[in-house]
Amino acid sequence: MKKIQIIIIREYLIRVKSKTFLLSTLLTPLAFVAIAGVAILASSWKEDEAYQIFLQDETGVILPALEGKKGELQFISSLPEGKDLNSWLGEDKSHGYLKTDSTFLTADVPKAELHSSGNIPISLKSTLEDTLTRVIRNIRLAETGITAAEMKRITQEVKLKTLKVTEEGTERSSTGIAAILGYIMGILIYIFMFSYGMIVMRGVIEEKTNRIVEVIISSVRPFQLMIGKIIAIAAVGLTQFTIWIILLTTISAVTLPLLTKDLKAPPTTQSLPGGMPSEIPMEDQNQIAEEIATGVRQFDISLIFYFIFYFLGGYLLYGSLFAAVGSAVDQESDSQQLIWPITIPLMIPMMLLGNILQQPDGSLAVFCSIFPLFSPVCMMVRLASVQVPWYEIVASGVALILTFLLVIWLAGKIYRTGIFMYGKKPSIKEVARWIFS
Amino acid sequence: MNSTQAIPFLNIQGVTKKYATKVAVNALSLKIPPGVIFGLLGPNGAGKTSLIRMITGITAPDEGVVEIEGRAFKESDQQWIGYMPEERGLYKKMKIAEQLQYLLQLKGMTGKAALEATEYWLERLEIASWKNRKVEELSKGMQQKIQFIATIAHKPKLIILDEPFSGLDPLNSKLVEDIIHELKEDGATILFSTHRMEQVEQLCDEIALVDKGIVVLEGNVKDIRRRYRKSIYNIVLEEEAPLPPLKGVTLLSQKGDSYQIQLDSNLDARSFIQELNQTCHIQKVELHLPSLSDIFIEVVSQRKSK
Repeated sequence: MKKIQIIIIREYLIRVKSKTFLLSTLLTPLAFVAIAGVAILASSWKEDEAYQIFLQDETGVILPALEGKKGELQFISSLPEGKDLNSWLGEDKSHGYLKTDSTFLTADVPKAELHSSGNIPISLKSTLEDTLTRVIRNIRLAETGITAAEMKRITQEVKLKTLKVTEEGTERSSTGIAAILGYIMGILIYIFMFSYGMIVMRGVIEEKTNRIVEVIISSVRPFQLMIGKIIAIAAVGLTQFTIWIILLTTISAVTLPLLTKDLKAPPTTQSLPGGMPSEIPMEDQNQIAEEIATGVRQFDISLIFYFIFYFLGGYLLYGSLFAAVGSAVDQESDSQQLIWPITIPLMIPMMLLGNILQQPDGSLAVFCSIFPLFSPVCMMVRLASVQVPWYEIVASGVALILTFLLVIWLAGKIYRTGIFMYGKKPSIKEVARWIFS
Repeated sequence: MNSTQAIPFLNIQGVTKKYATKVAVNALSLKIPPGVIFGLLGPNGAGKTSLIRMITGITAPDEGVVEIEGRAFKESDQQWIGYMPEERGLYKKMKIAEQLQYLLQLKGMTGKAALEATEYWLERLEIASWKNRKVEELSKGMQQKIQFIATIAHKPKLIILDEPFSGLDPLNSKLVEDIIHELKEDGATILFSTHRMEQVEQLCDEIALVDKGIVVLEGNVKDIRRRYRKSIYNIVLEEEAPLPPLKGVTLLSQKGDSYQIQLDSNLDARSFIQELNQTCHIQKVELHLPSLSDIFIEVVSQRKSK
């Protein structure tokens, strides 16, 4: 045990003290924040320039409903002094000419043509269609005697509130946020298992190509070296994870209030009366803010413990397989032909993520969250998004522990033969034979 | 010598190691007395490395046992074995002092003792100023010295050195050689594997020649050389003169006033010298002992032709 401890300390310190560790630990949360920032910026980005439309209105009722409004679309009734239509359209790509003829009001399907010297963006086309549709609808409603307020009542959509029943009682749940959280957790655990597994493999290959392995094995057993390395790299992962949690909590403690305040604030672009709606109605925006707040409030601290458990379990399972592959090859590029039996089961849960998120309690999801090769990703997704029965968690945990113990033992057998094999690239069949040698 | 033969330091009995395609070591037995420098010789692929790995406990023999001081090898014996493999290996990105301290701790030294030993030996081998450099910054010869320190600094009772002088200049070779003698004086048993026969003759007390997984020749270096002598004499005359033709004598070579001759096996050396003395002035006559290199070539090529 003393020797494993010495190995763990070296393997841990050499990695934690490296520049790569420092950079990836600090830059990853920053990258997260940057991506989120870009996404928020992009969603709130509005083209400053308005699209000017010269509307030749033969019906006489459409133009008055639209003229003089501010917004993305500006309608004008006449061309500027001394310009003819063609030269006006030609001077700016954001100039358009629209003609509504007298049949526009009466036709079953009102049709009109928009002319422009440039390509018309799809969003503009649909905004314009929506705008005209509303104008026509309001005019037609007025003809039948229904007011806009009555119409709103008629077309009102049903709002559904989701509640989660737990042992502690009923509380508001946020299905959307829970699913997103589940998705993120699943992806994170996958990335963790994969990248730290690769670090184990590289470490093993490095010792083999350096030829130091023979010196070390003259002092310790191969299994001690392998397990020491695997444990040390797990500790590196946990260190990194802890730093990230601290960084992200700090960052989100600062930014989240700002973010939700921003969402709750009245939209800056007012909806045009009877005309264009802003993209999300105000009450919906409030609801999203509330959902995020609920999601954050509801974030179960136990999820972090589950995350650590499934990360460790999955990592020990796959990490020892990566170690076995590393021991069998002389350089990383040779690992390709041996590594697919590891990468395929690692990736399958990622392909099933969509299904599992849609039916987190379906039989596929339940199976995958217990089957030890898939459970780290799949159970994490379920734990984040639904209430998983305790016996399923126990079954999944026990299966995972038993499997990684078995796999570590098998990997150790491959490892102790593999580290002394140089030269030819072994086949999977050969590697499997080492287990029994 | 007699007392040491009673309890060999290392007693290898009928050890066999098989790999998928070949038998590397085949029921090999060997006794190594304590406190000697023992040369393990043999052509490439003879099974030396496989044998060494079983002695160091890196691999276990398929059959047979390795006994140390009269008892079976156990894992804790690794503590007092120092092994310098032929393929050197160090962590390239690790600082020298840290690396040595780590390797010595794995041999059971405490952190403090390992550090002290590291500093002492870095000083001894004249590389103390490099202790905070990374291994990749060192020349091959310097890395060799680091590896040597890692092998001996925990005061092992058994030191196994595979080609310890390769890559060292004559000055550093001398430095290492002196330390090897010193370690022997301190009671260590040294197992020395090399292809450089002149070093074996110079350094080793006893040798074993291994070929195709078995010991083909074993014993004291001087005894072996005597055993393989072939009635060849080196003669130096007072002055350069043609050697008189004598019955049963073949002239092998002549260089100035030095001659090398071979006598027929039935001829007595003394009567030949008397006969020669009547016609020439002899300055010196000596029995020519074959070098280990000659013996090595002879034994191995004989076995090949069989």
